[in-house]
Amino acid sequence: MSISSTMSSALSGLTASARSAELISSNIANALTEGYVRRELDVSARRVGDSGQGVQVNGVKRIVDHVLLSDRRIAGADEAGRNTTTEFLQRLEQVLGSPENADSLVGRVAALDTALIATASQPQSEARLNSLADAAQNLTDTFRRTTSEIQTARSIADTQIIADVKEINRSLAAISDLNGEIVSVTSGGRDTSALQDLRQQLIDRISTIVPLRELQREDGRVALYTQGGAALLDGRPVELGYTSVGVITADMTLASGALSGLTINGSPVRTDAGGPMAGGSLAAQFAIRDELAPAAQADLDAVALDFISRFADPSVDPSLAAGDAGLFTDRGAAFTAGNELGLAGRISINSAVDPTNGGALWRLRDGINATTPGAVGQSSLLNAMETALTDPRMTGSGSFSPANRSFSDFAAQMTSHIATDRLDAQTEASFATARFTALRSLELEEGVDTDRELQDLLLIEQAYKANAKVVQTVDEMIQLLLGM
Amino acid sequence: MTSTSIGDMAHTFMLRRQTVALKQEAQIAGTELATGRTADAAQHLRGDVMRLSGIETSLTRLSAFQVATNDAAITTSSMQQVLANVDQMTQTLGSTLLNAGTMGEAGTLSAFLQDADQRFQSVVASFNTRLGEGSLFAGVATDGPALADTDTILQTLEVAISAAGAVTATEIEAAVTTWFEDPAGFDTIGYIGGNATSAQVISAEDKVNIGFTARDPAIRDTLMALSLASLMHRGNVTSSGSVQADLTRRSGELLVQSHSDRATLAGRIGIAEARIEEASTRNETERSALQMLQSNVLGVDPFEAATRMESAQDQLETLYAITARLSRLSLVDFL
Repeated sequence: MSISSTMSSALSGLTASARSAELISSNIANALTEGYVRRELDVSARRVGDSGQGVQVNGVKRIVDHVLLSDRRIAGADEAGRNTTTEFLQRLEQVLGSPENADSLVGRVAALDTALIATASQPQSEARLNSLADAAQNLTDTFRRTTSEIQTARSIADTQIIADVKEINRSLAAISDLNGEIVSVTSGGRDTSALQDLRQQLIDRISTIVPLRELQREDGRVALYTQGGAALLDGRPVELGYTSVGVITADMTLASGALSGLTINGSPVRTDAGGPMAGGSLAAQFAIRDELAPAAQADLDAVALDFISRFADPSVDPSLAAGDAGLFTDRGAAFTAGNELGLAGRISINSAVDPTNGGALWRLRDGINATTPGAVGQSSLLNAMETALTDPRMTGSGSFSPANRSFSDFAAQMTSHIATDRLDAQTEASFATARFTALRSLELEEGVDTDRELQDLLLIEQAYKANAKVVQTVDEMIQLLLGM
Repeated sequence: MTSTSIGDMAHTFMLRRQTVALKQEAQIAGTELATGRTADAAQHLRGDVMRLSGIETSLTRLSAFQVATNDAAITTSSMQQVLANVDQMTQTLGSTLLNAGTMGEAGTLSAFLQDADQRFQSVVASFNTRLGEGSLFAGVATDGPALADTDTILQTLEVAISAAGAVTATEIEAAVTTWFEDPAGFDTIGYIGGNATSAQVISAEDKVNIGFTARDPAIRDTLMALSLASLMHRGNVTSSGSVQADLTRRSGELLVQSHSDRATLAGRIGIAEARIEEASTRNETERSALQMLQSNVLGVDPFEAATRMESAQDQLETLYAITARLSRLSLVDFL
């Protein structure tokens, strides 16, 4: 009786060692696999009746720190969101340019100023009039390019939102399926580690889009809630809804109904900061589409409006009547009050001075509405325009505080606004990245350590040898008995 | 938190992050060292680019003012050149005509008058000098000449004299003077340029008036004196020898008088030249001051940038050494 139970204990030791070796080989094989969680064999002493007999394998244990995992996911979402915002502001700042570059907004304004001074010095010079027209054209191009960049950023955000929404819907469905499979495999008493790894990877993937809290439910299921409190998966997955519009223009907003909001199972949900979806890259895309980009556009429009009105003043160009379009126009016409939205994208040089549009350069010298060329040496209008550009005057629509600014200062103020926003966002993003890096690093420290696995393997090898030796000895004992 | 193991991926993750960060740092320091300027102006200025923008804008404007002062300097020095030419052409003519008129010897007189007529044409041509794309003395109408040709002036004068019924030397001189002073006379028919040009901007605060035209009294009087001699040469207004001699003498007198008026005009242009020169110097001073300020605002201490680059490089090398060591440190190699 006791000899056979010795044999049985030794065999259980051999089995446990073999299972352990199997897990170690799997761990080492997956040492560099993203999303793989280290497994350990869960063993305990087997008891038969009152005495211990061998070792019992309880199952496979996944070594995962749920608190750390949850923190890392939220930090990851925060990092993704802040990086998205920072990238947008960086792009915007690049388009506006730094003042020391000639192709920046401020540089273009300085170039126009320079061209006005040089042309006023030699008003009869066709070459200088041409360069003045070029400088004016370049500045309008800068306004239009910046507008197009802002609106393109909104379109890109729109495209990204629909991609993210699809990704979330797909992943939620897959996670829900995995939940079901894990329940059935667990009830069959088999190992669910691989399925749990897969589920964790899927959750990780969408957790940068919206920060998620994972709740453990009975039978190994998980439920998913956003950090803001919206249920995404609890039993059944929800369906997020969003309609992409493709190309976005300045006048299209969520309030005007031209842009789609986000829905959960058909009911609208807030997407701004403080809403249930806040915190990840999805909320950052909504912020770009609905807040950051429109605010930048409003500022740019304010600058463009000031620019147009400086040149449309009859006291600058006596050939103009009040309400006439000056050197710069709102798509060929005079600016009318209330049309400020998107103005920077429509600003264009008056066709009266544009030779490619049937205009003539001498109107730069003689007045936009002049019917016949005057004396070619006249510089009074050019001087007046230069003064209009550089004189401090009341500016302050958009988000700017009212103050007397020269146009160049106004443009620089806009650049400063964006630069400050970018720097703030960048600082926040680098904090978020540092936090995420630290947490991710901690999480990875819990991953597979080949040295440790090999140490364990050495132990297992010894245990296996020892158990085998026990079997051999018992065998010899039985032989001895049989040979008597 | 277990302290018994550290996952393999934690090493690589840390090393990768560190490598990227150090490489970025080295690259920024390298760029700054090479350009001498900060790689991120906005960050350097804590987001406030107003001051930088002010400096850049002023520098660009100063380059425009340099163009303007150069233009103005060329214009005024060309004007001086024209006045010097006219001086040279009329310097001796005045006294010669004065003497010839006083002596009244017909042969000599006719020779000198012919010379005077030719010089009249040369003087008118001088005032019509074009500089580049524009006439110097035509005011805003720089695309055309300042003065009509001498034939037009002289024919109009002949008509005016006969219309006034002027016969005596005094009457003829009076008729000529009247025509030159009449806004519908010389100002309309003789001077065909435009109004004076507006004051020229030559620095941020300064404007200079260089709108000198051929309508200026100094130039007009010179032309009147010469036209009297030319009328005598043409001989259409009088046949009397004594009237001719009288008017030749008068022409000589007026020509001599006009010399000092032209000198005054040259003095006025000289003052403008001096102001342009001053503005140009001031602009240049401001420019170098601003350039210094610009490098203060944007500049990076090369020593500091080099130190940063050096330390980033050192750290990177250490990191590579650690990476190599760590990758060798595996139990596998010892089993």
